[in-house]
Amino acid sequence: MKNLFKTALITAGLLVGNTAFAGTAAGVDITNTAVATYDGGTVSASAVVQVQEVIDVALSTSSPQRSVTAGDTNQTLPFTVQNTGNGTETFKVSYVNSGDISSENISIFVDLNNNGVIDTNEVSISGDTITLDRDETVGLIIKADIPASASADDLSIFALTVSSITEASGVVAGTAAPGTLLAGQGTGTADAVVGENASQTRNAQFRIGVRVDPVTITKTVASSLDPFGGSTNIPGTQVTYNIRVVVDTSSGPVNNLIITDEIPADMTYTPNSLSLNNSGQTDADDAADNSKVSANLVTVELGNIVSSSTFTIQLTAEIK
Amino acid sequence: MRLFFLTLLMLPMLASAQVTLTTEAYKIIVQTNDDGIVSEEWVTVEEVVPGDKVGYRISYENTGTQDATGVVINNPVPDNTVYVANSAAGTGSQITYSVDAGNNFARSAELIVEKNGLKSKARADDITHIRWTLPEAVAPQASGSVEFQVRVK
Repeated sequence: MKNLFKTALITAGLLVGNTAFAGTAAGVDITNTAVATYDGGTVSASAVVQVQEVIDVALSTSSPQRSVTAGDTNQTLPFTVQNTGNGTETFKVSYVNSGDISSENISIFVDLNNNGVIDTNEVSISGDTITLDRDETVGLIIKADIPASASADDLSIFALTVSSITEASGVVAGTAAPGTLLAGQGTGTADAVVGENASQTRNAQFRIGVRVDPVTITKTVASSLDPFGGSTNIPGTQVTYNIRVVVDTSSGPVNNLIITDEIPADMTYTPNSLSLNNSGQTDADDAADNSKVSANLVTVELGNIVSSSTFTIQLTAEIK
Repeated sequence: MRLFFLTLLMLPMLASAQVTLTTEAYKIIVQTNDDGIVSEEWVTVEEVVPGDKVGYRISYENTGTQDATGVVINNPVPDNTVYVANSAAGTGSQITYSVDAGNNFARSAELIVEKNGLKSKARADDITHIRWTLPEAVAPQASGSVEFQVRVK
């Protein structure tokens, strides 16, 4: 009978894991009522089953590796934790730091809005546990300093673990086998059952590298076209420039990136010649795009860049 | 004289059908044996977890002394569960379903739902009610049962 029970629970756990929404809340009574009518009478009968608590948690990271340099302070590794069980549950949060170099001044912050950044109202974890309602999601951020003694290509690896601390008779959910019944420990119901993942561990790491410039710009002459169809630089020659912008986000996103280019005094911008990644841009400061040309100043707003990318700006000016 | 009096008292009961009903809930445990044969076991249960399959068996008996005619059993799919496709059964009954909270009933092949203005065949999770209609009268002392399954959300 015990084995049968476990089999059923594992099946249940798999199903829960495959669905995006949380299961029916622990403690809910499911009442089934059948009503029979017949000539001369009506009769009904009900059966009630109660939903037990299933203890499950999901931990993930979207940034398994971040590039840092020796001596960097306040570096972060963001994680996301969700209570995927169906009752309120408390989880112990712990980490193991391994690899080539140990990080320093390590703390774990609760990222309330799960935006991957420690905001001013967000503080480090109180004690070493977090309590999450059914289906609740928060971020967890490891914050650490990188020792100045670290050398290139060193790794500082963090294994973060969230583990249910619900306990019955010395059996702790986070370390118990799926299907284990924790008598009397349910939320709003008698018993709790250990789900497929009452404990989860995910790794993320700092990789020590040489400092990379977040933004690199190179400007080159793509072509010169003189009034006679040649390529000499004389008055009236149309000179086309390429501006190549390389954004490296390995140390974090680059926000509010604006590229400006001042046309030299002895040249005149050729109207409607501006393009970004081969897409024509309007000269006007309008809603059509994020580029504008005013007098001799060309402005291209690239905005917030979250992943490494390359942009090519092209424009033409005429020699006076 | 005493015997006569008793008989008189019992007359109203004797002259009617009396249907009793019971509903039992079971957890359905699916097992696959070494030969790959899948079997289901129904185990009495009072507690379930999300994802569990629950089977309901509704038993009826005519405890009266006359035939019970026009017997119809109606059962809404319980809150927080979804009906398991093709699980409703009942010997000697006609089974119909509702997808509109019990207003209309039809055979499963004829169930139509309208979503975003588009009509389509109903799926198991659209079903809100199950109805078993017994075309034959239930004789005195006769009994039977019908059943269906749900999955706990």
